[in-house]
Amino acid sequence: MFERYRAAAMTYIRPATSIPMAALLMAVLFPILTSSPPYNVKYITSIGLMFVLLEASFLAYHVKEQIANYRSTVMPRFCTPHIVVALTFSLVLILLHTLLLGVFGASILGALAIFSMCLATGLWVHHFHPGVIGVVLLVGVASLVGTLVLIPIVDKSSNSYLYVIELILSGSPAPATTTLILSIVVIAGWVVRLMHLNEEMFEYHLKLPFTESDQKAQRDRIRANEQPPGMAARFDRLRGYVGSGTWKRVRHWQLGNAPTTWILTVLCITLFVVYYLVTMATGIPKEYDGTPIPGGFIGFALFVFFLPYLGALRVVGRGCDLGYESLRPCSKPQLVRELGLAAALDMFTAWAMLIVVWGLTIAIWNRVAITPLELLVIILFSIGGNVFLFGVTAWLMRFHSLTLVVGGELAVGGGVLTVFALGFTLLTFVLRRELLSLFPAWATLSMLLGLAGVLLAWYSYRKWCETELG
Amino acid sequence: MNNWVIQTQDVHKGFKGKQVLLGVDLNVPHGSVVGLLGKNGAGKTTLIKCLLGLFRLDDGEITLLGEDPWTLSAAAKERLGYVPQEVSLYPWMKVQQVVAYTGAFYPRWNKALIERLIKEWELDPDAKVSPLSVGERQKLAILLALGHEPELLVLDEPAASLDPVARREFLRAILEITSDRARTVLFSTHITSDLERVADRVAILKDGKIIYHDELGRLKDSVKRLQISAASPLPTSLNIPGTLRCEVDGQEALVSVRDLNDQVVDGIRERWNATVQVRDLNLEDIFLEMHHV
Repeated sequence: MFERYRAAAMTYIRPATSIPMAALLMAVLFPILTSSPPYNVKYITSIGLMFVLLEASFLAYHVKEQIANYRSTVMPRFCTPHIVVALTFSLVLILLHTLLLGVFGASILGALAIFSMCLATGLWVHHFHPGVIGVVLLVGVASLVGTLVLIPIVDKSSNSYLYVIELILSGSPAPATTTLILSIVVIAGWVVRLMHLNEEMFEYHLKLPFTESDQKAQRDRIRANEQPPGMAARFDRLRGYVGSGTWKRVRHWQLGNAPTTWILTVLCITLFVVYYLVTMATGIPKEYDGTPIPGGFIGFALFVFFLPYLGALRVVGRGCDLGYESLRPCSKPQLVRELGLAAALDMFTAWAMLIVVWGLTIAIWNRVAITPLELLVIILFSIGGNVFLFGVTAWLMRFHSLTLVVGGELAVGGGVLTVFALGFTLLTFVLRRELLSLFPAWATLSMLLGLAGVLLAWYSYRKWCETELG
Repeated sequence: MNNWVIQTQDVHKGFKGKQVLLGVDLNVPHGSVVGLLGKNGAGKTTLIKCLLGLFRLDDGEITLLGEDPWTLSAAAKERLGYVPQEVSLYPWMKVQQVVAYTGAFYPRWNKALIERLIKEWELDPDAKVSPLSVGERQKLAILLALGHEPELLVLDEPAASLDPVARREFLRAILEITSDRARTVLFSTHITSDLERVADRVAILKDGKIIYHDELGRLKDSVKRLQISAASPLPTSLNIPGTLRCEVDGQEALVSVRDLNDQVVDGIRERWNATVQVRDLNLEDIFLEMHHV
């Protein structure tokens, strides 16, 4: 009998889950391991929440992948061991975090409640229709928790808890017990959903692009209604040979880049709404070093770098067909150059869109007056940061694996997190009206980031030209 | 002028320590239809990808349309059509959008031909690619490879996913486009009946090497099966030159041989006082005999 459970547990030994999880663990635990007492309990809570959320998402992905399969139908007693093993791992995970918090003096009931809440969210991530809602939920919650993680790093005395988390964690019986019961009900609902999973349920076919076959499945599930009207019109305007001009060809390659603009727009709008709901409802974070921080500033730091990066990752999906596409009439260096420019154009579009949205937010909602020079620094920095991220991504994409791209990003010191943290610091200088005196330093930093990105992109281009595309 | 569209010399290619191609020599003449035959895992796709410059060679040399495939120019690619074994073809596009998208890369694109083929192959131009069946996608991929009327068409198991009707139409299209002998086709397959229908040459890939490459008719003429009935029990090994496979059962024996001639047959008759019947083999049988199945 135990053989079935052992077999189910053995399925977790796979690079697709273990590499990102190991990288994530290193990225998350590094600050704890290198810090010294007294420890910031809130910071440890935030890290725990983030970790449980992402870990639960990986677990849920893995177990769903096992069950959304013909084997679960034709093999006897297949589902139960997988679900039991997943629940066991989950339980161990939240108990460890709960005990850790308990050691630092938090309420065990409260800690159990909030970690269960995060677990329940993470487990349901892959059961939304369309799938992008699940991704947005995950990214939204992770961003929120991520904010909680980063702020204590910047400011040790920060009081950045969400009110609701503080209430539960204090061990108030009613909120903590209610949260725990609700979380258990949600987790039970997830188990029931998995037990009844069949081909007619939409999430059966949802895959994450961890493996080559998953990437193919992911492309296949992009349905008709995901083609934006603007893109259809561009097809209608096609009249034969596109010509040999680089710009025309880049725009043409873009058409085959997956409907990135559409996906970015959806993500942008949704995240924007989620972000406002969160920041406006909770008012986090409240201040930095005595200076109030408006929500719009956090939005900048979160999304101006994050979304373009996501857009670049979409290009990874094209990787499997690159061999086929490389036989279009153009030389290999030309192909790499034009595809790279098409991806850069997608990133630039998303970046420009976000800058405008962010500017409007600051002006209308937060009513913060920014001088032209400050605006210039912010824009320069966001350009430098995005170019850097583009370079890193171009280099990592050569390995044709999203797992490596995500894992690599975390492993190289968290390209996203580094730029994000820098962006956040930049904004605090704006708020404290200290940016102008530091203009040369920030301008230099922006240029250095941009230069590093360009060099990395150039190196990647050279390497791509030598890469087997088959 | 060089008559070879593809020339390979001692091509080696391996992955992570496993050698797939072990010295492939294959020259494809202009205007021919060459069927590349081999078992699953024989290295057909690897060879094709090496020919097209999608894989870099470990050793050896390839010339494709007069150029090194690793640095193939845009001009050469305009003369080349390729249908991979699996292709996803932009699932969010409609059939006509994929056609327009692909066609826009080529200065010469035969719109009329594509429209005719879409009709004949019963593809809906307004259908999205995503819900198309594997066979329909395969048809679309073939169609896209024909649009610019390439001088060299390379197809990697093109008919594997097609139903018999579609396969017949596909083969007819191949015959049609090669009828003027201006185009060269190289296609890999393990469906020997397809190969017999359209190919004029056959190359057999086994254990990382081309073990046979010549005209299809010549192959059929050269490989025969001998049914031997002797007056007394036969030895387990008959030592007949060119033996591909030999089964002995008492006084009876079935022997498949290559490069058979009358002298060999007469020798068997005299040596074992036997009657010998010489039978023709179809390509599938020849393929099986060459793989000792």
